[in-house]
Amino acid sequence: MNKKFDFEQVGKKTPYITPNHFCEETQKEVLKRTYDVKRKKRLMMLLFTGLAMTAFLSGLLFVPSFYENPTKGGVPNEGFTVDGKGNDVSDKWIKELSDEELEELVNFSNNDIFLN
Amino acid sequence: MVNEDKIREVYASNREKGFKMLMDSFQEAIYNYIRRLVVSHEDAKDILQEVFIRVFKHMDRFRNESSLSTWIYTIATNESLRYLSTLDHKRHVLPEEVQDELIDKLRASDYIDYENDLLVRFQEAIIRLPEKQRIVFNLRYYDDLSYEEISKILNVKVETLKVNYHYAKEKVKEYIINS
Repeated sequence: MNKKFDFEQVGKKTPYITPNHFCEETQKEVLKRTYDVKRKKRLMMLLFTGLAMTAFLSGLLFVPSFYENPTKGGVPNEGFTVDGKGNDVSDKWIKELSDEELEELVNFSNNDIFLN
Repeated sequence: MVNEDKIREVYASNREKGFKMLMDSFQEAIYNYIRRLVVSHEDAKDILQEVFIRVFKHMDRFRNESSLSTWIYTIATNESLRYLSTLDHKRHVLPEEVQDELIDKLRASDYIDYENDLLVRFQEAIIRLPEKQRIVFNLRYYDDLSYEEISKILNVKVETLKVNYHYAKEKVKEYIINS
C-alpha cells in the first residue's frame, strides 16, 4: 500500500476521456438549438405580422362597406360572416399554435401601434 | 489564456461569430469541470449544452461587472448542482448514496481510462468530498481559479474557501493513502 502521496503524482490528469469530434458536435447542437430556433421564430413573427396586417387591412376595407351598404332588396351580404368558415379556420390555426407561439402573438399585438 | 475583451468585441459586431468564439474558448474547460462533478460523459454533454444555451439566452443581459469566465463557471456550477440534486431529491436518497452512484459510474462507464488506477482513485477521493469542498477543490486544483474568482462563483468568503480547500486536500490525500 502506498503510504505516501504527493499531488505531483497525479498533477492535473484525470481518467476521463473525451470522444472524438465532441467539441464540434456540441457546438453544432448548441447552435442548432439557439440560432436556428431564433431564425425560425423570426420567420414566424414575420409571417404573423404579415397575416395580422392583411387581416387589419381587410377589416379596414370591408367593414365600413358592410355598414354603409346593408342588404338591399333581400340580397344577402356575403362579404362578412361572423360565424362563417373563416372563423373555424382561424380557431383551428390558433389551436395548433404552441403556448410559446401564442405568447409571442399576444406580445406582438400588445405592442402593435396599429392594433392598440 | 482566454481573451474576453476580444470575444465581447466580436460579439458586439457579429453575435453568431462572437458566440462561436466564446464556445471555442470555454467549451473544453467547462466540459471537463462538469465531467468531474457528474462523472458520466452523457450527463456532462447534456449539462454542457444547457450551460451554453443559458449563456446564449442571457448574453445580452450580461453586464461586464464580472468576467465572462466567472459567469460561465457560475452557470455550469448551478446546472451541475441542479442535476445532482435531481439524483437525491427524486428518490429521497442521502448524499452518500449519490456519491456511491457517481463512484459506480466512475468504475463502469464509457470514456474512462482504467489503465491508471491512481487517477481513478483520485477521482473517487474527490467524489467522496462534501459537495462544497468538491466544487472548491475542482475549481482551484484543476481550473486554477483564484479564491477571489471562486468566491464570486459560489458567493462564499475567500477565507471560508481557503479552509474548504485545505480540508479537501487533506481528505483526498487520506483517501488515497488508505484505499
